Amino acid sequence: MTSMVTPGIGDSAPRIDGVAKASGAHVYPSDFAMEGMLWLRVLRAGRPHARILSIDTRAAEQVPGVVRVFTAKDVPGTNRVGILFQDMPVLCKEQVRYEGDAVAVVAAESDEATYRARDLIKVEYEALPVVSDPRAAMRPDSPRVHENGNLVDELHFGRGDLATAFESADLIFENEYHTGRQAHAFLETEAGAAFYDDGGRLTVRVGGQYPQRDQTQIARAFGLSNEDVRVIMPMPGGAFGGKDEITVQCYLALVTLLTKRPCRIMLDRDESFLAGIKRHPFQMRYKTACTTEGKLVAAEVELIADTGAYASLGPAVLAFGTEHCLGPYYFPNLKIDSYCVYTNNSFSGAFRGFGAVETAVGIEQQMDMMARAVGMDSIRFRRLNGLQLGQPAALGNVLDTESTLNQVLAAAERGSIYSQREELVQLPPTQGRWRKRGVGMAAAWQGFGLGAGVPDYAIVQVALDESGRYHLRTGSVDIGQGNVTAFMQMAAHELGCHVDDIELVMGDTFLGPDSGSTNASRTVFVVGSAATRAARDLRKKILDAAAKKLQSESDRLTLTGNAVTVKANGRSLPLAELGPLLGQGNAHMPETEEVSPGIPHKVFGYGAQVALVEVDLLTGEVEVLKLHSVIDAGKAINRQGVEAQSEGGIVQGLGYTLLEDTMVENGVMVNPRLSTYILPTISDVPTDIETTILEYPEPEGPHGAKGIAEIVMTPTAAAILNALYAATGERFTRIPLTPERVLTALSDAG
Amino acid sequence: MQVELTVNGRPHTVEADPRETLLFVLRELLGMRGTKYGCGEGECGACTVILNGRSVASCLVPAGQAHGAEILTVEGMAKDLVGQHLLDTFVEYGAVQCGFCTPGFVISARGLLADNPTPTTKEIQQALAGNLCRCTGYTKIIEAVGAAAERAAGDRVRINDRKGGTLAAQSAGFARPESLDEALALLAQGGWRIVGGGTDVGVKFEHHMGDQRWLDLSGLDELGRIHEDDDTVVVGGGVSYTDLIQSAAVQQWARPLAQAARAVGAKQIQNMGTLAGNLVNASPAADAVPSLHVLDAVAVLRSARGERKVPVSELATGPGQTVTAPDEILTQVIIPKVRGDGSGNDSEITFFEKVGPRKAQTIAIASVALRGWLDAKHGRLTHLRVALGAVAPTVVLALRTAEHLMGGPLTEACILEAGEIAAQECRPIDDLRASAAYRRRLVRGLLVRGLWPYVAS
Repeated sequence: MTSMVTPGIGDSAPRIDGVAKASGAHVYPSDFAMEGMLWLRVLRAGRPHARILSIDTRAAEQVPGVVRVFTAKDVPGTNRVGILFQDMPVLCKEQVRYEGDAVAVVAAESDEATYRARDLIKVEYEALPVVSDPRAAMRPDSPRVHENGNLVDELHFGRGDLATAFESADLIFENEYHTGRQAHAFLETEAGAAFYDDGGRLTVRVGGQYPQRDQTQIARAFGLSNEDVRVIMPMPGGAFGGKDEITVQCYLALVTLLTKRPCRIMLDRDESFLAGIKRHPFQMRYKTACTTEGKLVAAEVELIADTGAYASLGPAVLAFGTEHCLGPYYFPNLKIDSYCVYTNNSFSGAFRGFGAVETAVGIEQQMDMMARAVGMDSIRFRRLNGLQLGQPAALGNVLDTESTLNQVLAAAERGSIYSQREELVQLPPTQGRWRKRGVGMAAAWQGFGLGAGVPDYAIVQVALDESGRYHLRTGSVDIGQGNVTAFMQMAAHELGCHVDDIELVMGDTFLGPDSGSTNASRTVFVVGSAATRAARDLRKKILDAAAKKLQSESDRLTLTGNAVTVKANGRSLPLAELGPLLGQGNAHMPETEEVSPGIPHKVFGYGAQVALVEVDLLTGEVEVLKLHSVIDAGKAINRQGVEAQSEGGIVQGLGYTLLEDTMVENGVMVNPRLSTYILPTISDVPTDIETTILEYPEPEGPHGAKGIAEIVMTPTAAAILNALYAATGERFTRIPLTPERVLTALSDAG
Repeated sequence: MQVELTVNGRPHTVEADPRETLLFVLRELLGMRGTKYGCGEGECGACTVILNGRSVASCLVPAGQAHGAEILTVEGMAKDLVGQHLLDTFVEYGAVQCGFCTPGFVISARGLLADNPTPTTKEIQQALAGNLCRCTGYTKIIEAVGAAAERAAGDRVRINDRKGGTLAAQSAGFARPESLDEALALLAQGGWRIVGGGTDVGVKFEHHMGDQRWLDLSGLDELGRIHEDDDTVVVGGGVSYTDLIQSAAVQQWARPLAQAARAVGAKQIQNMGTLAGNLVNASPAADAVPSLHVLDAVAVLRSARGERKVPVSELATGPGQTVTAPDEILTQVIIPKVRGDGSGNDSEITFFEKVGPRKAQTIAIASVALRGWLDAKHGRLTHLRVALGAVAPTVVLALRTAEHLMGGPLTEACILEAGEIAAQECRPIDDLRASAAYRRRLVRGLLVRGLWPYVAS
């Protein structure tokens, strides 16, 4: 659909990729095919911890159609990947550390042959002791997942006199929380293709989140230079952080590098579950105290994040979780000890929310308990304890921009659930015999950007070609959230044109600039700023060039549509006579002083959610009937896009709370299918999701925008859990909360 | 073999192993990649196409089963008035994010609007519960489908629903006979496995369909019929859950079966899965089987040797095991018509209650089917049958529970006691989905939940 009116900033412009995707025309990473492509299939370890004694590929290579079977000995270069440090082999040589570790890659002329051959690869293993529990992995006598031990990272912060504070506190609450190993479960599994492009570059076309970083990772693993490798990232079928790390890139690159033939891969769903990245399960101990007047006094927190067999972004998730683990509240006395630990479990990395989603389960339930204990309304209690300008946050960093927590809380309070909570929880007596309802709320904050000490920049180009067409070039991939539509809206706004007048070049290391990774709720903010600046730069160049040709001055000209016009006399010059011209924009995330790599953040988004739930006392089933979400978007560049993020984040949060967990028993995943790993269907979600978008502009953001892709999900779990407490009087500290856990708790409580 | 397909109105002939999936044929042999792979087991709906008028998961359809069929894919939506409305509204209402699930949703919605041009929100949810979306939270998808329905008012919404895919197929590894005798003769030779709706074997033999010889029964029209006489309703083994839901005879005489059929999987699986498949797979969690127990249904097993009748309650002997011989086909299910005590003072009450890990597209952790007659005046139940699913190696006919309930009157105390008895009558196990203890509690809870409306009123 093309609207006749130019969509402006803040309008609900239809996304630029909508038609191609809906009609099936968009070529996803798994849709790309070329003549003569090889099909790839990866042999996984299938055991959590073992030494490889031998690998025999001879029988597999005899299968008709098989071109070659690759193992670690075929890999040139370091054979190692990892965003923060390279602890993960592309193909394992001596040791496998989790079930999904890759041992061999089959390349064949047909998909069928890859399956047959994979079954015939013989690997001899010697089993090694398995460590599956992160607390056990921290003990000195634990089996070691990596040579240097299992502790990947630890952080310790504190201030005040904790012992005295707890001694003198009126009310103390102590709880241990456990959160699940949520799978990203993007609808398109990890997939892509590799080939040599026209310029002879080894090209990997793949579903991912940061082309330039993948380019570096691929080159390093195979001893190539970055110029030898091109990465193209078309819009993938979902990512949510799960495609930020290397997934299938290196298998593709290896086979094309060594066979000189194009190849393709798409992981089967069970393989994606087995091998793919997950959310870190967190074990959290919270001890918090307040006065009878409702003032927070002290907090002691221990966080343990299970990163599984490899670190990926584990230390960054831990740092982010540590920064956010006490919420947007002021605790005068505190102590935080955090650990990121290797185990032989499926490995964890980036996932929407990045440590804040996990810790909100703890702190927001603690807040609920304390508010109830002092007999104070939850919203008032939070308002009373919100971080003020100039007050130190958990890491000691002082906020230098005002928190909008109070505004968010006020909107939640006025909303259709919270304001009517007394009536909404009433059920007619016949229904109420076996059903109970409750309303609960939670608030959250979420720093956006990569945080202190981590380079966080974006370059965007906007060009005018000889024919008068605009081109926006960015490395930043739209992984589904619609950020690129927002960039296009911002560029169109500067150029006075329609979004359709701009062609997009996205996610290509050869054709486009480095705009950083699509993660950390950063892209609308920082890439959007760069796009705005690039468009302004181009606009200035166009007007300057036109001024020369029209023998006028640039401030007497207007740029609209496809022409430059002299305001005074209406004389105009078509853009086709002014190209080619190139505009470039750079932007950096505002930074603050580093406490530890990646923390703290300078800019934060705030949100609150209110849930109405109903519990079936006969079965333990929980239904979320209504959900109200309030977010401060700074400025919604695309209103519909923000709403869509909100609704999607809530449902991902609902799944995290009630349904989703990759269950691992002694390192073995027992539910690697979509029939056993349970995602919410359309019948499991409230049809009544209301999003209130507040707009308190962030001065450094484009048009005042803030990042919102994660804060939309962060408070969901705690809001539902607090509502469940209101309904049942039971506190649930372990998620996902299955009907069985609910019913067991209710029965035990009598 | 040469597989003939009409896709979006255009005939195609492709050389394909008939055991390849229809999804593979569409994507790799015809190059139509709008239809997506998401899971390979009919859970996610990304591969949904309309096959002979009904939405199906193309990852579970063997190509040979689609031989001769008329298929509608997302690539055909732009040429279809209603389809074009859906494409428009999905984009306008922001129902597309990563978009990978969108073609499947568009097709499922197209199937819905063909049957029901003015769906309610609830009906949209039911029709789309077999399609997973990880990005949107579904709200905007519901809005988009509602808006498309409004725009389509007055357009031609029907899809060509030629029943069939009527071409016979025969190759070394795949046979799709047109007569039952032919099928029985092949089966008598040995070495053939039966595929009906494909919803179970397609999952069990994912990537390995090619290792087996398949006898496809979907071409046998005689297995696809429902008919009735004075005393019975006879349901063909090849009847799908959707057929059951739509059958007036089933609604009237076998309501628990219609209720169970609605609880099976989601739309695509209801369109594909067959009643015979549900019985012969003998999963303890099979949704239709408890209902067939309370209906006192009898299965007809045919072979080249002859025919025999086995009560449904005696068919399964354990998980995945039945008394069916390798050369037998379950051709029919006979459901006796029961009319209560004939006094006219009682009314039939039935339910099928189920709890799974989620609300739709879910495998039962426990289920309860019930049918009886309630004399509301005296609060007495008669002719009562209660069956429990997923709580023992085979479905449990809960005789003591029924007896207790019939001892009535139907009060809160009575149903709570009956719940406790039912919990004792089952023999559940611990597994991935739930513990045995929870299953017992569920049986109690489901029985109470199902009967509560009659107590409360």
